[in-house]
Amino acid sequence: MYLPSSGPLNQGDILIAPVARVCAADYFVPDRWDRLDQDEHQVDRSRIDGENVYVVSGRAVVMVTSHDCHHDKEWNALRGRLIRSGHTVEEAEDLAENDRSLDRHFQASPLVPIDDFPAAQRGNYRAGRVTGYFPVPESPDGAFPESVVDLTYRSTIDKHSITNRRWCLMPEARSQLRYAIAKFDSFRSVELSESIEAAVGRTISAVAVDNSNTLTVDLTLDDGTVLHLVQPPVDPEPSGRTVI
Amino acid sequence: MIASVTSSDPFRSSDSVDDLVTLLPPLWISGSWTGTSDHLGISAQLASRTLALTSWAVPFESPAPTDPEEVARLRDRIIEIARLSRQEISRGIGVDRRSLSGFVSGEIRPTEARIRALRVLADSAEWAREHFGARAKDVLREDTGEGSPLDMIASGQTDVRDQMASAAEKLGLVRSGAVRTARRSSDREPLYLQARTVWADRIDKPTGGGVAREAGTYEQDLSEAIKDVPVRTRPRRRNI
Repeated sequence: MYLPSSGPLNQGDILIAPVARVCAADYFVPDRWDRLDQDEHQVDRSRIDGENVYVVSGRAVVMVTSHDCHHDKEWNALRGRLIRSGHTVEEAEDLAENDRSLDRHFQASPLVPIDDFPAAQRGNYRAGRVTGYFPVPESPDGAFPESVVDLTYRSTIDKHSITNRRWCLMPEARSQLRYAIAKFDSFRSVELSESIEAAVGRTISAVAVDNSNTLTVDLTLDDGTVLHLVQPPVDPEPSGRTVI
Repeated sequence: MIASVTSSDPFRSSDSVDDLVTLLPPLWISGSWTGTSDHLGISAQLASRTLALTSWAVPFESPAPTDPEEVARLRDRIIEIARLSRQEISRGIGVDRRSLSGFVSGEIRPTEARIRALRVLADSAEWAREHFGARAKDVLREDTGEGSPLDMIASGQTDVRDQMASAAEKLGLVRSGAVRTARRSSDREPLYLQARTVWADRIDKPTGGGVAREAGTYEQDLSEAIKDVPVRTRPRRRNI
């Protein structure tokens, strides 16, 4: 599941960083975020619009959720401009690397220990059945327990505020993370695997394609059930380093 | 009658104030009210200016029926929440102390302007108490250079929150844009503490730079993903 981290920031990196979220004046904290919300801040806006801003923050073990392509997007854009303006590749990469104006932000979600959830619900979280949560095993070095990456809490973080980084997801696990993110952000579909398992051994009696939306295909099985298939978006390369 | 008067919005130019002076209610222009001390305190010039700076739509009516009970209730409420003296409350509504007593006893009939000022004072005291606690009294009395919030209310201004905020700043009670932080108590230890200890012997931070990619990597051509097909109200199905 894990590999030692190295190189530039990668999707699936596990690191220590500050996190924050905006809240209401009563500083409501869901139980699962009890470890994350360590400080309460009230920003006085009485001279601006009279409506204060309330924020809770803390430091946390987080997993990087933004795609690798995002992390060096501006670096690549500047590198390309410099090369087109006559610089060599090495010069362009050097100049881009030292440009302090480039975006330094990434998105990450915190790890929440499985034990912080009600006992009766832990099985579903472990199995990855709960949309918005990506299960991860205990750290090989005991730095954190078996947890879920809470995708419902997402912070935008400056790379320069990272305290330390230690592990990164292996490529296969990173693909699962991407699926979990896509499912949470876009699909919210029923568990495809369970539908497929139920269909094993049955015969397809009819296939229908919705011409108004070529992304969907309906398979009618011999018992009358219909499998509604949705064409998934193009997957990135396993490493996530070459194609979006 | 509804008077829509100018804004105290800090982003709004003060040049616009002149345009709105004509919207002043007849309060300071045609004094036909009863009572003994309506003329006290604020000059017409100041009254005009401060009225022009209010930001609320204020209904102006003929003098309302005197309600000694309401005056007494508001007065006692202001004393309770802001600890202002009766003398200061009188000043806040532009009358002397004997007139305020007369309002309460029913011997003197206050104008609607005085009742309105008393209501504004009560609301302002509530706001000051909510934001500045026991220093609400000091905030209401503090002279910000244009007069104190009490003076502003006496002049007919209906929203003195900006003046109170300025007064509080002058008193050192707040710093504009200040952030107050409080530590949350929890029985659970933050997860990063253990990780920080375990990882202390190996500090790894992401390197700079990036991985070279073609510009096209960052471009999306949605025409490739969404076919340009006519929209149908009912999906047409094709059997295979």
